[in-house]
Amino acid sequence: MNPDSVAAYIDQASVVLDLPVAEAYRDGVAAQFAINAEMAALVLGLVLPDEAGIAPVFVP
Amino acid sequence: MTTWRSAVDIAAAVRAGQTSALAVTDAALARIARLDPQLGAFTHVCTERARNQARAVDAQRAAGLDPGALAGVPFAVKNLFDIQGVATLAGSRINAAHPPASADAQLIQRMEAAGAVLLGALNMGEYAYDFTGENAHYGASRNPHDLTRMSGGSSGGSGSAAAAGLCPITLGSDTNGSIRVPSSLCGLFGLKPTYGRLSRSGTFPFVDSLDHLGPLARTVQDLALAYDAMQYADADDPACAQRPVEPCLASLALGTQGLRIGVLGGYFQQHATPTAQAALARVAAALDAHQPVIWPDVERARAAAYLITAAEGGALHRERLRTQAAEFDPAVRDRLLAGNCIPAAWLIQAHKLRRWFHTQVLASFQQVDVLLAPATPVSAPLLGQTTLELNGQHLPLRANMGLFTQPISFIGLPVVVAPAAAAGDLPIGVQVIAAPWREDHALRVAAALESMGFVAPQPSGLD
Repeated sequence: MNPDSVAAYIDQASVVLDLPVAEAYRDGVAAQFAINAEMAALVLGLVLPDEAGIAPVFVP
Repeated sequence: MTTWRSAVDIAAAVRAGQTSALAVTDAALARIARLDPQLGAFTHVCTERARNQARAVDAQRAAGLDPGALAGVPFAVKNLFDIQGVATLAGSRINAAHPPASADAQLIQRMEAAGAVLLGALNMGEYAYDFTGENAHYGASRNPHDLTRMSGGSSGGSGSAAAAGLCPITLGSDTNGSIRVPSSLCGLFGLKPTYGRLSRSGTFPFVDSLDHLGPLARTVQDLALAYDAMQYADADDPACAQRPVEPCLASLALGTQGLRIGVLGGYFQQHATPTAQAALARVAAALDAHQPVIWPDVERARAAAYLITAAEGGALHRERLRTQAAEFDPAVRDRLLAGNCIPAAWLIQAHKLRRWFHTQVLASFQQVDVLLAPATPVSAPLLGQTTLELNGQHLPLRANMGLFTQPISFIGLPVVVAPAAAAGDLPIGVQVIAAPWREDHALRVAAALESMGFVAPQPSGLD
């Protein structure tokens, strides 16, 4: 994921989520999201069966 | 009161009438007044409340009633615990505007029901999203072994206060390592129980699916004493297990008898600095533990914990981020904003991976009862330090101090951190990890280590 894509995603997400990201925070937030994306690449890299359940389980 | 006196000794002396709870409390309050300005451990000291509670303990004893297993023992709590009449800061400036808490957190109630005396609220990293013990609003909680260094976070004040002898027991929270990192850096024993073992009622949350509470102390007996007092099947915390009380204190004398102890390799060896490896090797040698155990995909598990934390933490603070972003600690704000932008598919895969990893790890407990692993990659960094060197790479410190703790809390296993530094070195700890609900196993191994000389080091230069 290149830095321009991350910055563009943050800008659009900010609008869609109604979550303003001030100009002063924009680079910092993009840097943190880039770390999230690195973590996601690791997480998504493990192929799990469709039947794999999520944790935690809601117990009524 | 001597500053290094254990909770067990204090309670025994108070129960026997050799000293009064009020005298113990006044000595602790005087020590806080003298030392805390340089430590930054406390954000609130509840002097009158503490003295009133101590008088009540003394009155119980005078009336011939049992004043409790923790009679007169001073303790303090991370400032995300509700204290009646005090705003629950959770390390933030924003929460300072909240109304005072209307009741004490459940664990405070349990401690006081056993005769303990609450001294006050302890400093922490903002909203618990921290491994440093630094705080942009209230200053850093400093490491008593070297005041220029971090206490670790986010339960930094809990580490600082216990290690400095301000009180023998403190309570903290641990989402990704926030009890275990300060325990390691400050040279303490710390217990992160099984997820769901201790009630979180009356505490400010961070990541509901990963949040745990637990004690830090200078001896294993004190850790067990506090843990036993706090067990309670609390219906007010939906994650709290409906289990009976399972006391551990009496089992400590069993030591390692009958326990199979392994050493986590792979990821846990590859990312450890020579300092962390040496600490682990000392502990493994003392316990004659040689069986290597390799868990699969630990790096992915840690990544999944990272994502769940960012997403849930971000969502928790969404409204505050919309309206009060400038009031956050900048080091916390950017991560919470970025966490709000995580797609649902990433988060759901992280939760699926959690269940898968849990299954893989539980299988390893067919071969062993307890596993050893490093607690932190390094000993206490300097305050203000922003990177740490691992395998020749300079990595962001805040994101990487939890490398070894995150994969364990991710699946809710009970862990005791034990001090393991060489004499004269800065403290560093080792994790003693057990199967779910087997806190007794981890505490027994920690007690065995303590008996072999792996004790909480006393800071020099404070007094």
